[in-house]
Amino acid sequence: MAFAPTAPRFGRRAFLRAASAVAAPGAFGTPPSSVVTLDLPQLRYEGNWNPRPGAVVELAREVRLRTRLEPVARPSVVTLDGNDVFRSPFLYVAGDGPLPPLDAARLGRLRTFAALGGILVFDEADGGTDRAFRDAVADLVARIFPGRSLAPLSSEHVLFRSFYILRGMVGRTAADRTVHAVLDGGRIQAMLLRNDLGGALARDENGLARHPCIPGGPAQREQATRFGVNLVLYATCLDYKADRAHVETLLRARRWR
Amino acid sequence: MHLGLAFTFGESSPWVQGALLAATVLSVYGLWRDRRHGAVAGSAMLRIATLLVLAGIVTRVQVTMERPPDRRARLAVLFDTSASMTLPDAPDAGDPLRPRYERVRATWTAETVRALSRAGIDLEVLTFDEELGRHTGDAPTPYATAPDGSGSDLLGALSAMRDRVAASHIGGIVVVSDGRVAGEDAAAALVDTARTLGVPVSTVAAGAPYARDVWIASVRAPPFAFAENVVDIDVDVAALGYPGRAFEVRLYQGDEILERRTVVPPTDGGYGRVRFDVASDRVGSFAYTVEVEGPADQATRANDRRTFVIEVLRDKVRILHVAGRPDWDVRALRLLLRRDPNVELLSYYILRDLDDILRDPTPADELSLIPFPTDELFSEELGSFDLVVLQNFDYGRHQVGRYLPDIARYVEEGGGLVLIGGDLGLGQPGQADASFAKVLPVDVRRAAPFERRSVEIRITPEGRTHPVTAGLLDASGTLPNLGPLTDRNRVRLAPHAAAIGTRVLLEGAGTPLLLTAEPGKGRVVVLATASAWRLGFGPDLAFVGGMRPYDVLWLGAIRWLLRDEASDRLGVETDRPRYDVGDPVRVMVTTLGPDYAPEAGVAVRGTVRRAHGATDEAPEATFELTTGPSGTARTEIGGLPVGAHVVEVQRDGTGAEDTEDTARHVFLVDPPRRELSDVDAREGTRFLAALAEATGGAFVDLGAGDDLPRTFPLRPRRAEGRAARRTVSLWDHPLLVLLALGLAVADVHLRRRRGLA
Repeated sequence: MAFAPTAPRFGRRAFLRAASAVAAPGAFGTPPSSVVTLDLPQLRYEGNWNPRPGAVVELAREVRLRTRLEPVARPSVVTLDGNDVFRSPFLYVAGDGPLPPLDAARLGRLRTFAALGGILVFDEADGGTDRAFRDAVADLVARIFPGRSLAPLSSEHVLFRSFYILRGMVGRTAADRTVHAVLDGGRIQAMLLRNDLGGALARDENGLARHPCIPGGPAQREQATRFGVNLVLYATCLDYKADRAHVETLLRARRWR
Repeated sequence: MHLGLAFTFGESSPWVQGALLAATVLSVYGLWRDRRHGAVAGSAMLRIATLLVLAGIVTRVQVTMERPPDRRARLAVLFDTSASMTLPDAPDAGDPLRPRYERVRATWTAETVRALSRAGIDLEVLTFDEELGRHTGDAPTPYATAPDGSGSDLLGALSAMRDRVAASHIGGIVVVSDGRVAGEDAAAALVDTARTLGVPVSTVAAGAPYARDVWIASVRAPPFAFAENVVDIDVDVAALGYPGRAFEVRLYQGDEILERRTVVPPTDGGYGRVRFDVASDRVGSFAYTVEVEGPADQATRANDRRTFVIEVLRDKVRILHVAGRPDWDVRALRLLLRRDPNVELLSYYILRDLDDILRDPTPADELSLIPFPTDELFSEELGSFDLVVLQNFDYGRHQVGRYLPDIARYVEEGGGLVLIGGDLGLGQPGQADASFAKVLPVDVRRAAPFERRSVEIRITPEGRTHPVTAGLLDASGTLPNLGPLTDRNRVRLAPHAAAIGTRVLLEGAGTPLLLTAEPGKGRVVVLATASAWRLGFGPDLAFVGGMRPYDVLWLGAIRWLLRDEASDRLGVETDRPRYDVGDPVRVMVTTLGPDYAPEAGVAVRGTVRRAHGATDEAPEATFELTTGPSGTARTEIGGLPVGAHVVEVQRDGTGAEDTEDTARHVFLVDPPRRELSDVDAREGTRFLAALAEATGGAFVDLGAGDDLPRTFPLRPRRAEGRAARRTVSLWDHPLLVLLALGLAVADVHLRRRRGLA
């Protein structure tokens, strides 16, 4: 099976971005201080903590572009050395290798973060080709949530319909469309994405994709972007889309069609 | 009492003894010299007496009184005078039933007492039910009449015996009872207490194994229920002596029979269970009674009924949560509301608007979005919500603007409204129409800019007592460090703020942060920040009573908005949920002012009625109170009959229809025969046997035909061989000298009268 590299092109996404940039100046810059914004912090640690530079910036931009939410233009980078991690109940952790060992204080902060309702998102930048990061995350999760572990998330979970209706998770790769998560009464406390979501989102300074999406190309990238949007919508709205009123309305609409 | 007397003499100086001898010789010589003049006899008597007194002084005479040791033993007999002693039972099914106290009375006779006395045992006869008492009659037992004590506090009686045992040489205790003295939990404590007395505790079991009775063994009903929701009430029925017989069990509300069931209790001592389903369509406290229809020949009817109270709450609280732009604050509030199973949450969050649609024309079937049903929510369904939360919601848009008068009317008619700040709602002035603006404590027709800045939270004096924020204070009344918020809406009080009872509870950076108002019959909360979520998410949260400040704040707000009983300004309660008949019912009334601080000097009138009596039925008691400085007033009500009662209070000067100023509370008065809840004596007999064995006492089972023994085990007397002795010195008493002097003067006087001196 041969894979053709995806050629950068001026497609619908780029057009929309350009159009909205014209229509809504400031939409891609820092929102005015008078707007309720969302920070989507990324964890910095000793090691390759940022294998897909700009991925979170792009995620914030796409969410801002497609939804009414207002993520900050430059999501912050936090460490576990102090209390920065509590800036937001969302923490994005990317990597492609082992995680450094955590001392009791750092581990305690992560435990408190999760206990107070924070959501941890682990993004496997190797796209499923190496187990190092995955195994390290599994170990870390076992320490944060004693007695529990990452388990496959049902495709019926509200994460897959918090904004877009999706059939699974893809990123730069599509090796494992299953999201693995730790749940608390149905609410996701931590999740592991194995398909390198950051790789699909990351763009260079010219707005061009840094990495090809394999095997689906641009369509896969769009699906990955949609998953990213769903991820942020789920983080803010939780199981809102599982409310009975929404489910019934959506089912009625489908029958009507 | 046998008393012994002994005189003893001490040593004295030879000179003193010589002087006494000389005085004696001189006296005899004088008498001999005057023998011819008569009066010798009288003078001689006086001189002898004087000399004897002087001899006593000189020889230091002492008197010793001695009581010989008491060689009789003392035995304390505790007769159970609780009502369960009246229950009839028999050794076997063919034997005649006999009340337990009569079985004792026939066995413990005057001859029993005499026999024990002949054996050297004196009795101290006591009684116990809920109190320890002394039997004062001439009869050998206190069972001349049927006992009627409402409890059997043997533990208390034995504890009280500890001092008596130590002080009065009691060498043993006999407990005469049916053993229905305490729950299983107390049995071990009873045995331990008996052991610490240090004397044998003998037991005489009055019960017999065969009885005939049917009774309500237990009722399982939830203390709370939701209106129009079915709740299950499980009733366990037990029976003795009626194998295979069916009984009807009825559920009453007042005098009305709600349901009937039939049960056949098992014969092996277990319970037969029936289940009733009830659903109240009204909110409030309701008393229910279950009753089993027992046969006429059963041991007692006192255990055939049980009354209980179910507090019926409103059905699930319906909350409409509308957010204009999801953020972490929306997440936090949703997380909180979803956690409460009693909340039915309906949410609508604006996820994208026209600009977003233009930028991303994804087909609708690929989106999980539904239209915002404004007409359905704000016109048709609005009245069904207990609370409407508009969180950073630009209510002037999304076709909601036209419904703002409906929302205002909803509030004035009793609805709850929460407005949470941000850039879209409070941050965009001019959206509200006049009627909507009038129910809000902040001015929404002028700019209330949304500012991102550090905001330290300060609680106002009104906030310290208000139910929304009072819970934030720690035990010392201090607001813990809540950490700074990161934004605020610079709101201003509305011109009509005072007219709708506006209270500023929290402030920050010089402007109100949290406000409440009570326009019409409704309640409104305005939170002028979008970063309250930080009160529930931080590294060093100041937990209050184990809860995050965020939870404390919102739960307080929701309770107040929904008029939870705890946030009412007039309250009434009793010191206990149920009473035994005859017990005084202590009623406490609390009043709070508009600022939720204790309100003193409030005149309150109250009534106590049967919970399910006719509406025109005269009250059982009435009272008038005035609250003191702490906003409380208390009274005591006695003489209430058995059953469920409701105490209702009202601020003086308000009408009965004014529910705002009325509070009610339901309580129960139980019959005195809770003591009679279970007639089976076998367990009590086993307990009494164990008690005797543990303390080295004897066990007598009258129900099995045992005879009383001639004596009971006693502790060896520590007092034996010791006598009570008291010595009194006579010689050094001043009166003795005066007596000697008086006798001498009398002698001289007699001699002068005879012309001898």
